[in-house]
Amino acid sequence: MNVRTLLCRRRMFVLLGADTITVFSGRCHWRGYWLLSDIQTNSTPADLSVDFLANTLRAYRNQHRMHEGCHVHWFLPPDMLAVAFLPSDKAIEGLILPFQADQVHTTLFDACEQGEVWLWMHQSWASLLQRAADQAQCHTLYVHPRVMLVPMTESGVAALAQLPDSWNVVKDGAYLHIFKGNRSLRSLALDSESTAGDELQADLQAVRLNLETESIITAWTGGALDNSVPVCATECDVDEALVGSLTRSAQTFPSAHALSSNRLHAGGLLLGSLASEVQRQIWMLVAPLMLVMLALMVGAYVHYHQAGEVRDQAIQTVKKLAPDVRRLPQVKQDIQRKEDFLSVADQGLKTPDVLKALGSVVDALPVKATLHTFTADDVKIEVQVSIAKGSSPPKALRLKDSAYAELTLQPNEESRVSGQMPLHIYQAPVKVNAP
Amino acid sequence: MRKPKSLLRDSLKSVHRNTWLVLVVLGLGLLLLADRFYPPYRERVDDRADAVMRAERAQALADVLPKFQAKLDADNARAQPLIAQSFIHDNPEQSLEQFRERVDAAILESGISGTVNLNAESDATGQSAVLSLTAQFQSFPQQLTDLEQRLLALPWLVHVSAIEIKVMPNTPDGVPQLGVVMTLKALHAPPDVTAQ
Repeated sequence: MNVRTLLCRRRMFVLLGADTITVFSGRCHWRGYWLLSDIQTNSTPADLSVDFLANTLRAYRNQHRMHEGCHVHWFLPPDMLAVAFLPSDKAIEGLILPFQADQVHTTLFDACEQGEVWLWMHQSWASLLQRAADQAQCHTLYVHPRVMLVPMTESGVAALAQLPDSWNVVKDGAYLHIFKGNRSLRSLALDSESTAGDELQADLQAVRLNLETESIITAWTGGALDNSVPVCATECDVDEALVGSLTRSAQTFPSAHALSSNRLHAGGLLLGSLASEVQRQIWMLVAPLMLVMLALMVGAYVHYHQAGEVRDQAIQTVKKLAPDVRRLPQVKQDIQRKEDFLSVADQGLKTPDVLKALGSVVDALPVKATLHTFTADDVKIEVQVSIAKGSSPPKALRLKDSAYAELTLQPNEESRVSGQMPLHIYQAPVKVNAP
Repeated sequence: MRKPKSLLRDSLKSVHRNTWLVLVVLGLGLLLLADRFYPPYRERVDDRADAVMRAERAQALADVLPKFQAKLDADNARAQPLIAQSFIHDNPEQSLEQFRERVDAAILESGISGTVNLNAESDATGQSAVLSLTAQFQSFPQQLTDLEQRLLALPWLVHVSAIEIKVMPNTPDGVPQLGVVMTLKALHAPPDVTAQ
């Protein structure tokens, strides 16, 4: 955001002529230049007074509903706000004679190699304008020379564009503005006897009637007037031309000729203070920021307390659940012990009771069979029997105990004992984990 | 005598120094407030996050506890009958000694005389153990039956896991004698297994 935008508000622009006063209201465009509108022109009395100016401003402000304390830009004729060229080798005091330095307001208007162009105004005029504005509940901010508006009118632009290096003399009603190219060097009020008739002769001889003009040009060129230097003389009534331009251009300036805030500041004498506007804009920026920060801090404070409540609730939950949390590892440990025990028990008891198998085998033996050995472990059960002569061994021995499969006769598995009957071997695998 | 500078510079210079002072004081005050308040605020937020995390963890563990409790109850239902019939001592050696004594006593009470060899060992997994006892003796069939009944009558679970019986040649009085090698197994449980 730049200062031009910061200083944007409606302002009053007042153009004073020899016998007219024209008032505009200005609104700052976002691109930084002022758009003038609401033109009102009145005639002025011969004797310009504070009351007249105050009434004019008050009437305009009330009619167009401008805010109290609005700023005023005055565009003044050269007999109120002088525009004077000061060669490089001259002192400023030479411009403001016969006044004391503390009796006048001065400001630099333009500068170049040949010298400087100054604005100066007696403090009585400044006081008059400030009193008039104060009575109308306005605030005089700047005073500007009428010559500033010349390049902003169509006829003024045309006049200055003819020969860029020429001396352009523009007659603005009862005032004369002297330009070197586009640079304004001098404005002065014409004495009624010094002009030859109502028409300005497009000729240097007619301009030479004003000795001061000639001296300016002589000082600029550093010597006597050279007739080969082109001088263009044009007539341009700033009041009428300005009003016409505004009316035709739908009350907006083309951007090339716009009144920008920077241009107004550089081309005017600051009588008022920019402080109130700047302070207002600073506070307009700072206040929302502070509100946002305050809202953030309030939000943080509320969040702080809410976080405390949530924290306390969570601590209470932890305390309430602490017994269960402490118990869980113990339960896990108990489960581990039980499972270890059960694993051991399953491993140790996986085989069925072999004494029961002995009884089943004895029951299953045929009558003429004799049991010689009985072996049972966690892999197999084996019996060796002998069969009485005349009987053949059964092929299998079916046990009543369901934990064991039937014992089958093993072929070619005879063990012969010298002098005794052959033994028949019956085997069966053990069902692991059988009851 | 004034030479105008830029509009921005002149505008800012026109503001009374008190305005800048107020702004600076306000700004510094806000910064100071934020600096004083931020660490405890940050600490409070961190405490809250930590407490919430601990509460969630505690809740998750508490939610899981019933499942583990149900598993423990199921294991208890299976294990308690076996624990009740186990030798309960601090270490397997003590259980083994008691097992050996009881089996030896049962063998003696059965009337089995002669040489009785008892070899004992334990196979520990964790704190529980399988007690193994190998008994070698000679007996008559009735004595073996009696021994079986006495072993069944013991308050502990004694499991005959392997046996080898050889029928000896007839004795002078005609009663068959058996050479028996018997492997007996029992369970050892430490005292903390008995907890429910």
